[in-house]
Amino acid sequence: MKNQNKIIGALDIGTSKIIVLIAEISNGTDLNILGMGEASTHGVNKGDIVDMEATSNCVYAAINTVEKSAGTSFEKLYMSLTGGHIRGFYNKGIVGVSSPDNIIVEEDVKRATESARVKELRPDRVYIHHILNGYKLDGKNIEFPLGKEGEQLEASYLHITSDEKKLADQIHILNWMHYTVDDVILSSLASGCTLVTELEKINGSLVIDIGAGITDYVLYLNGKIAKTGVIKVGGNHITSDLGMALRINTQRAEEIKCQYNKLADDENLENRHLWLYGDRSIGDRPVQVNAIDQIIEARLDELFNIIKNELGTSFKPNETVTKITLTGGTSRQAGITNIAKNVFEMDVSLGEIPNWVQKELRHPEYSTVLGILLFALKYQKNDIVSKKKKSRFKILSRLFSSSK
Amino acid sequence: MIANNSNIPDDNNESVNPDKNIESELLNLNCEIKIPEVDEDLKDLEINNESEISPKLKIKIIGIGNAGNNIINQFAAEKLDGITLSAVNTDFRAIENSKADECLLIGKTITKGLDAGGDIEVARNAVESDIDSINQMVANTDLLFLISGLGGGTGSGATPIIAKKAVEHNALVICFAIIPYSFEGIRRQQQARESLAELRSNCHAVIPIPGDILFQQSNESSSVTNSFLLADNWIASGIKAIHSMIFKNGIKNVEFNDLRNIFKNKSGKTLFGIGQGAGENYIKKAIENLFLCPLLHTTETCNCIDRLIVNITGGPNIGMNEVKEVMDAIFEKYSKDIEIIYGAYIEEGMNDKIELFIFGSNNVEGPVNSNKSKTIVYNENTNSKKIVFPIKSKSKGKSKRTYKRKNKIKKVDNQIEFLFSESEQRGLFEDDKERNLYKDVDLDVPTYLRRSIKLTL
Repeated sequence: MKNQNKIIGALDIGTSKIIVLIAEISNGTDLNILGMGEASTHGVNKGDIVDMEATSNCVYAAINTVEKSAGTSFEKLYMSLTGGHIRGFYNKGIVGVSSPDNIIVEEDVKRATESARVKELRPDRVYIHHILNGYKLDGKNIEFPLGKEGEQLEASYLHITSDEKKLADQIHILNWMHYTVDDVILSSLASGCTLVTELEKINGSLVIDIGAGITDYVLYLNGKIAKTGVIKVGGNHITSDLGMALRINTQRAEEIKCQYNKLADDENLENRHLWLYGDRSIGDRPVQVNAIDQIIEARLDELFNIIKNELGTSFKPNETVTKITLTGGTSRQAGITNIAKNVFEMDVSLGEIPNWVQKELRHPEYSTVLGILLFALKYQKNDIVSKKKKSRFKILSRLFSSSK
Repeated sequence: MIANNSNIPDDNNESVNPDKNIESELLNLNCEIKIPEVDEDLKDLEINNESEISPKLKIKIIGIGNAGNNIINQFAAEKLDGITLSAVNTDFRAIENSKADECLLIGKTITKGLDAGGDIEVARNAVESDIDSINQMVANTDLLFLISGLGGGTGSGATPIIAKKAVEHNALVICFAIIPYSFEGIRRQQQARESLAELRSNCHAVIPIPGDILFQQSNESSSVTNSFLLADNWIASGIKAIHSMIFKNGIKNVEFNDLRNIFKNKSGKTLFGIGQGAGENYIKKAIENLFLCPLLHTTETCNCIDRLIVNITGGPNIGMNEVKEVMDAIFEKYSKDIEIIYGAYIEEGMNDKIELFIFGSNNVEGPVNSNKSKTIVYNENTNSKKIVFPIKSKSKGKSKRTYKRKNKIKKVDNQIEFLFSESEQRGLFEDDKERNLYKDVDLDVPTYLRRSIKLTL
């Protein structure tokens, strides 16, 4: 089985773009990207599918392109999931060590894990991930409980849940095209997978993925996922704000946003201006770049403040967190790192996609879809999946963490 | 036959008629009516009137629920002659302390004499269970004022049903409804709004008094009771003005039929305003005060009116010139096309003082399908000497001028402007049904607007 090559697909349905990657996994460890397909999205609002028909057509177009360009079709498909309906909560499983000599055996770990994961959800919610957040033996944090001596073992899990209907919508779209979805991955975790190394996770790292419709963030502390969430603000909000302030339509607002980004490359913005319509028609007039700057800054400043607020006390600049990474399409916005820097009171950098990825894919908007591939690869490697079904959509619940 | 209620004065026994027996039977069965001795003459009058058509109008004020009962208690001190005060409640304690002429405890079997606990359904069931007593209460009334606080249980649930019954008994029903403060929560507001819509389809006129206005009017240091007193005052002055219009003899009288005529449609929205002026230039001050009356500037007020009653109460030195000045100002503010009926009265001790009161309606139908087929026939028997000169409005409805004015008024009103622009502030996300809320802030509204950043564009 190990020598078998597998063709897998990764699908990311974003608010503005649908991206599909097709890749080959050889020997169970090597990943080779064969092709990429893109299509602009219709029928998705702030990460939620609102028009299944329209979205389905876009997904079909993207998959069609990728399969043609790669000359093959995939056997397994993984997709990302995001949206305002994602929730996370902590749950602990506490068991007494069973053996008379108080040495922890596999059975104890299993029982602790099980009891942490048995929590019943409301009928409209389903589990997406169970993320191990560490063990405690008699109240002390330990990394590997097996073989240790103690009386009481505690397994702590971060559970990510999703609205059943929203998840079903996504899966249905693929089912219509006779593809089966093998697994869904939370977008923020996928981006984190691409951009943050294991060491950076241990040192504390925050990844913020700002898309067109929404923003995902994930915080790693001590190598574990401590917090993840979704804020329903994205690049479209900047466009909307500009459109309202300047009283121009969405298309022109988008253009102004891009023109501003180009302008902002030359550092001196004082007294510069942009033409309102750009076509010298009646009513066209110069607009101060400063004003555009203010509008965009206010929006992004607020977004980062909301994230900072959500992270709460677990976030301490340069103490618990040593690296903040921005990614996603909107992270191309000029001056965004400075705005983030002011809010988080520490250095903020744009995410760098590792070198093994082809050059044309090293753009911030691809970090999620690349992450899905990495995730799938890891999934292939760790063949320790507990195949316990949690929903009728073949979503496999499993451990997602480096530690077994 | 069950014996007469012992509370009814003896001297009426000789004129016993079958109707009366049924009445008292009902009283005994379904409600607790306590009639204080003070109002013997009034009771006397009413019972005698049953046999013959009375020249005198019967006016009743019913306070429903705790808020309504409290205002009735205030009225009891005022002693307006010819008006019967009634209190309806599910709460026994409130009924017990009531100073009203007649009290009705509804839903004894349902709430066991406790309040409705904010549940409209409970209140409705309570009224339905005592519907005979309600019929009894509203029968033979020409003009009925209902006072209730919406958003709770009894007021919201019972008032529309009582209004409906009263209209079926040919009464002209005017309802004062106190809308809860917005800090009392969305649920109460919602409940109040629903009941208000229901009231509008049942009453001839509804005057909503938003709690938020009371809040704005009272200064920061003033107590809660003060702000409630303001509501009481507004209602009291409104009722007093209507009362004096109908009962007092003035320079220029308004008849009950005129009032009927103004509210012949069960209108959606009404206009209700009070203004006072004293001292130098008291006419001008009063007009200004009237147009600044906060009740004219709520979202619930109709600013496009078709018919209007104007009542002027002043001292003996008031002349036709002063009346003209007031009327000119009102015509200026509203349209010349509207149908205006005015009354002017002289009251002793009002030297260099004037009180204005306007009350209007429009031709727009109420929000819900009001049963329009039911026209009210009022037995025109009063020896009225009509000298009204109604300026008939063209059936075309509102002229362009009134529309313009409406907009003008809107600008003054911050509340409307705010609500209006709220939905427009969402740009690209205008069509989203759900608001993108984070800690009660709509994130779809541009940040620069919410942080009120001044832009130099």
